[in-house]
Amino acid sequence: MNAGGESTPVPTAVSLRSLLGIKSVSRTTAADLGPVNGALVDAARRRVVAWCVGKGRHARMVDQSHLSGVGAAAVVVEDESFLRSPAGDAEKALAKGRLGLIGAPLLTVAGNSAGEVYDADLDPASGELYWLRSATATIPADRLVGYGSFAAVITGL
Amino acid sequence: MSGTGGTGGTGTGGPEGGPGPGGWAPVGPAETVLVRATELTGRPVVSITEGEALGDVKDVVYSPAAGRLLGLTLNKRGGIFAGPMKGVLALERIYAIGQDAVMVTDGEAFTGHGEHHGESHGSRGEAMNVLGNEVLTDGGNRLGVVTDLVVAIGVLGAGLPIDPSARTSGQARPVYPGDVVGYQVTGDATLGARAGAELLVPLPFTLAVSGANLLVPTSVEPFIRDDLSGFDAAVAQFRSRLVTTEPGPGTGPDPGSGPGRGPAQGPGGPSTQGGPSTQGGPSTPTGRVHK
Repeated sequence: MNAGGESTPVPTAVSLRSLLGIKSVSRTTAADLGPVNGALVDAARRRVVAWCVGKGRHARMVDQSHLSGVGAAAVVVEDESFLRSPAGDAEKALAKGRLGLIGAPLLTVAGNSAGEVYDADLDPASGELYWLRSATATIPADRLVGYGSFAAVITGL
Repeated sequence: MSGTGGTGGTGTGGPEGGPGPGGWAPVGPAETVLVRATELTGRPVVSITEGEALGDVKDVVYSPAAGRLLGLTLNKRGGIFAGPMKGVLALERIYAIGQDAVMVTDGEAFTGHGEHHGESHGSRGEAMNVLGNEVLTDGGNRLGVVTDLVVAIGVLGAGLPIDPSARTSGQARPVYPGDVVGYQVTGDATLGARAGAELLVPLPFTLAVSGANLLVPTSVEPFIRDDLSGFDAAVAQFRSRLVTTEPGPGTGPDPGSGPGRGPAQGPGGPSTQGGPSTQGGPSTPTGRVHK
């Protein structure tokens, strides 16, 4: 509740793990575009910036900004024309299954292991990450300072 | 790698840093943990901001005169066929040496152009291989042959408040990550029951070295330990002793301070040797111990 007595909307968080494997659909044609295969995370912005649809040679990327809806059954893409080929090392690694936040080792900036990422909560509309979850801890996403093919690096713990 | 927790900290800042406006805020050095240098071999060197491994630790580069690591040499990642990387990852470019990884702020930390810390620090000394060197006391006793180094690890942070002259002046200071605080030696035959055993010898702030010999004060003998448990305390007590001009009654080594006390010395302790005559120097807390 703010000073004016109005309720502050609380974004609904969804589990990243729950989105992996669900189908993606074109909003304009209702065509099935393939299963969601991964999320590209920008650690500096603490958000998912793009999604990988399909696998291997058939993998395509779609930017978070071109999603029109994320639900329990499907990720809806505004139009299939927004699908594009993976570009850059990170997207290519994601398409090949060599990069993924889920299952990534968690390292602190002090060089100590903090387990691995079991799941992450995010805002489906913006892709903003709220929490990282390991087997033993729930970590505010603002403690994520780096992420790559070797590890997700966090402050604290 | 197994470990045992210990006590004490040395730092001025938080151990892990915290989020700041730009993402995260590097901190100063924090509490330390003691490990053998050989334990660092194989640990990945990871870029904090990129989450990528730049290589694996191959070896440490050590300056006995500085009493610190100068840096690390690395192997490329990729298994036994990967091979070594050229150059040295200088200690100043390392953010933290942790239990599981060595952390650098970004991928530019390792230049791979043969950067040599010793060249830029002149009086702080050059790298030297001390493995196989004899450790002698200034009383002329042979303690053994160096088989490993005992290194303090932890968060080095954005910069260490280390006065390069502190080591050579013998001034006491806290133990910082990157400090080499002891040698592991194979006990000399003259040590009786400890002959052939792997012993940990605390190092003073000042150390006389040559190509083959490392000279330590005779007063180190009561502080020699058999393992890393309690070695941090032994180092602190030994170094504190060195900066005390006139050790009074009860300032000798604590008989119960740790396992494996060295050759017999009374509770009153030996006279101060090998250290400067600095009145009332501060104690030198060390960090936790990692076996």
